[in-house]
Amino acid sequence: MDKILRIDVGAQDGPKATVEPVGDYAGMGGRAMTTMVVFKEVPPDCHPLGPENKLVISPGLMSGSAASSSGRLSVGCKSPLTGTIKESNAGGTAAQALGRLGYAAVILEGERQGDDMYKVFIDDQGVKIEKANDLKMLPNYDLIEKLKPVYGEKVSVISIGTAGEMRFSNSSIAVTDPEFRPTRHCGRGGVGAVMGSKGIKCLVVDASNAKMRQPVNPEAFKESNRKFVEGLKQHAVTGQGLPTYGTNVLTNVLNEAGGYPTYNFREGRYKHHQTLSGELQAETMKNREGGQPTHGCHRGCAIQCSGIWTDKDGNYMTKQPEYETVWSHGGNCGISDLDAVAKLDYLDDNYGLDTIEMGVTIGVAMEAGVIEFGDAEGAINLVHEVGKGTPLGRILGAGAATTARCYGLERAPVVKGQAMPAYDPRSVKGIGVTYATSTMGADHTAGYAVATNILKVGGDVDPLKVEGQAELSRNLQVATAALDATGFCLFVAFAILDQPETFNAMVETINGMYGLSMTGDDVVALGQKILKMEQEFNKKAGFGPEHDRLPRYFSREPLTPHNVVFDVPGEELDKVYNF
Amino acid sequence: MSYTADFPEPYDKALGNLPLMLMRHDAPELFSLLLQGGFLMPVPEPCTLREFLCELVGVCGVYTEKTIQTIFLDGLAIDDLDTALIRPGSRLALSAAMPGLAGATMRRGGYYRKMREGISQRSLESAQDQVKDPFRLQVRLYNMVGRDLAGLFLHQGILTPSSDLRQFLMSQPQKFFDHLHAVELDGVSLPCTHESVGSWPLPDGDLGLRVAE
Repeated sequence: MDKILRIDVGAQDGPKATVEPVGDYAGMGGRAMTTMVVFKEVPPDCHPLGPENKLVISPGLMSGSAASSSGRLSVGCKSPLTGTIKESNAGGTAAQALGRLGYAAVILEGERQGDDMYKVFIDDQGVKIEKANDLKMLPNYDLIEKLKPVYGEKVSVISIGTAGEMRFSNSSIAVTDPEFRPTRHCGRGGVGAVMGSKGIKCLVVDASNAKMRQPVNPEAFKESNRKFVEGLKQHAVTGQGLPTYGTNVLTNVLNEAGGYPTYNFREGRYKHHQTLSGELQAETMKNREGGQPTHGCHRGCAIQCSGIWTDKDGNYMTKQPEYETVWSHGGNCGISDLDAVAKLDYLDDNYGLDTIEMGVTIGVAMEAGVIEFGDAEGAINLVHEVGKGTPLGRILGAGAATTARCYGLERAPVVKGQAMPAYDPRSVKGIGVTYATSTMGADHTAGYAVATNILKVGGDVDPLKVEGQAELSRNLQVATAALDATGFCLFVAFAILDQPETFNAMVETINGMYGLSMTGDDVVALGQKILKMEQEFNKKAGFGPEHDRLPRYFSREPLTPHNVVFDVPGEELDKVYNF
Repeated sequence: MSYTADFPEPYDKALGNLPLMLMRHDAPELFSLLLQGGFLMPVPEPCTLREFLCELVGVCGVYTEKTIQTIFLDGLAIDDLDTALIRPGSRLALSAAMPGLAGATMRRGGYYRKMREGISQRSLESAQDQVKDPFRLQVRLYNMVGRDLAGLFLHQGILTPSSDLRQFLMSQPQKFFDHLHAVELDGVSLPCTHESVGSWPLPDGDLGLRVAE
C-alpha cells in the first residue's frame, strides 16, 4: 500500500482523481492514517460539512494480506455529530480490495460544485469518476441492486444511503459483505454526512485482477499467521462464544450484571431479556431456513462472529444484528421481539444510519412521548421518517442529543453529542471513564483492546489500586488506537489477552508482512501518538476537560437493581490524558 | 471445553416432592433455552458456591476453573467461589468468558475487575452464620455453559413452572422431539410428540423435571 488517491470534488469539470505516493504517511494505516491526515490537513475549527473538512478512507496496515481477521476499514474526518475528530471502522470486503490495489488511503476533499452526485470506480487500471444522478436518494440495498448488473457481485462498494445524502449527523458509510450486501457500517459520528457533503454516492472497488499483498518475509509471515489463527480458534471467546452466538451473547450477562440500559437508561435490567438473547438468536437462526448463526463479514476471518437472519418463511431479513443493535432497538426501547429488531437493523443499514445512535434516539423520543416504550411498529415508522427526511425524521436523524433538545429533555445519554452504547456506566464504571474521556464521544470500542497487561501499556499497573480506573482506561485507549491502525478486528483482543503466544504471533505477523522487528513498545508508542494527535485536534476544535464528563444525571439517578451512580470524580477523569 | 465427567447420583431424588416429569432425551443441550430462562434447584442448607457446584451438582475441577469464567450471585460479579455464599433467596447465573471490555471486566479474578467495583461481591458472610434449613436456589445457565451443563443439571433435576416447560416445549422444532424417546409424569407415560404437548395434563405451579438418556 504505497499510494494515496485524492479526489478533489471541487475541480472545475467535476471531481478529479490524483494518485500520489504515500509520502509522509508511509507506515500509517487504518485509524493511524485517518487521524494523521485529519490532524495535518483539516482545520480543527472548520464546519464538518464545509469544504475544509476531508473524508479519509483507509484500510488497516494488514488489510489485503492473508493475515486472518484483518479486514477493517477506517473512515476519518471531523465529525458532524460530535464536532471532534472521528474514526469509525467496519468490516466487509472493501479494506481488502483497497489494500490489494495498493491504496493506503482514499481522501475526498474540496468544495462540491452543484448538486450532482458521483460514483467512483477504482480498479487495477486506475480511477473513473462518473456523474450518477440516477443513484440519488437510493437507500443502500436499492443502490447495490442497481450496481449489480453493471459491476457484478465480486466488487466491493462503499456507499451512503439517504441519511448521508441528506447530511444527517446520524449517518453511516456502508461497506458490502461477501454476499454483496451493504451490511457492514462505519456507523459512528455521522461520517456518511461528510461523504454526502462531498457529493460522492459510492466508491466501487474492483480488485479482481489484483493479487493478495505479499509479505516481505513470507516464511515468517506464514508461520506467525498460522499460530495467530490457531490461537484465535482455540480460545473460548474467539473460537466458541463469538462463532456460536455472535456478540449478542452479552445480552443475558449484562442484564444479570444490572448493566443493561433499559427504557432510555432508566433501569439496569430488562425483564424480557431472554427474548432478545444471543442464545435465542442463534437457535432461531439455526432453525429457520436460510438462517446462519456463524458467518464472516469478510473472507479470511477465523472468528466468524456474524450471521444471517431470515424471517419465518426463510426470506433474508438482515445480517445477524449485533449486541449493540439488539440492545439499542430492543431493551433500550422496551421492544422484545428479535424479528422487529432485525427489521430495524435492516432499515438502519438501508437508509445508512448508525444503529446505536438510532436506537438511543428512539429511546429518547419514547421518553418524550412521541411513541410508547415497546411500540415496535412505531419505532419502525420513526426510522422510515428519518430515511425519507420528513420534518420529524430530520430531528431524529440529527441524533439523540438534538432530539432531546428539541423535546426539552435532560435525559440524553450522550457524551460530546454521541449516544452511549449498551453498557450502563453506573454499573461498569470503568467503561464510563472511557465514554467520558474518549476523543470520539461515548464509544465502547475506544477502550476495547484488553491486552494492556501483555503490552505493558503504562508499565506494570496494579489494576486494583484506588486510582486505577483512569489508568486502566488510558491504557485501553492507547492499545485500542494502535490495534485500530492494523486492520485487525478488535475481537482478537480476548485471545491476545489470555494467550501471550497469540499476541506475539500477531505482532510477528505484522513484522513478517513489513520486514520489521516491532515490539510491544512500538505498538504502545503508535497508540500514544494517535491519541495525542486526536486530543490536540479536539483541543483546537474547542474541547477541554469539561467536555470529558458524563451527563450529570448519571451521578444523580441511581440505577436499579444495584442502586449505583457514576461517582468517578472529575479530577480522576482528567488524569486519563496524563501521558 | 465441554463437560466430560460422569454424572453423579442425583443428590435430591424427591425434588421437593413435587409432581415429577421424567424425560428420556439424548440431546439435553437442546434444553438450554429453558435453562437460560431460570429454574430452581433444591439446596439442603446454605453453602459456598464451590460446595454447591462441586459437592452437590458435580461440577468440579478444570471445567469450573477454565470454562465458568463469568459468575453472578444476586447480580454481583463473583471472583472467589469459596467465599460466595448460596443462601435462601439467592439467584445464581453461570456463563463462559464474554467478549469485549465488558466481558473482560466481568471475568472472575480478571485483570479489569476494578472497572466493575460497584457491582462486585462485597460481603464475606460465612455459611456457619446461616440457619441450616433447606431452600430453593434460582439458577440461570447461559451460553456455552448452558449447553455443556444442561445434561448434568437436568440429570440432577430442576424445578420449573409447568407453564414455562409447556411453553418451551411448544416452541421447539421437530428436531427436539426426534431426540425425545419417552415422557412420564409421576409414573404415567405421556405421548412424546410435538402435537401432544398441548394436551399433557400438567399440574399448575412448579414441577420437578429430570432428563436422562
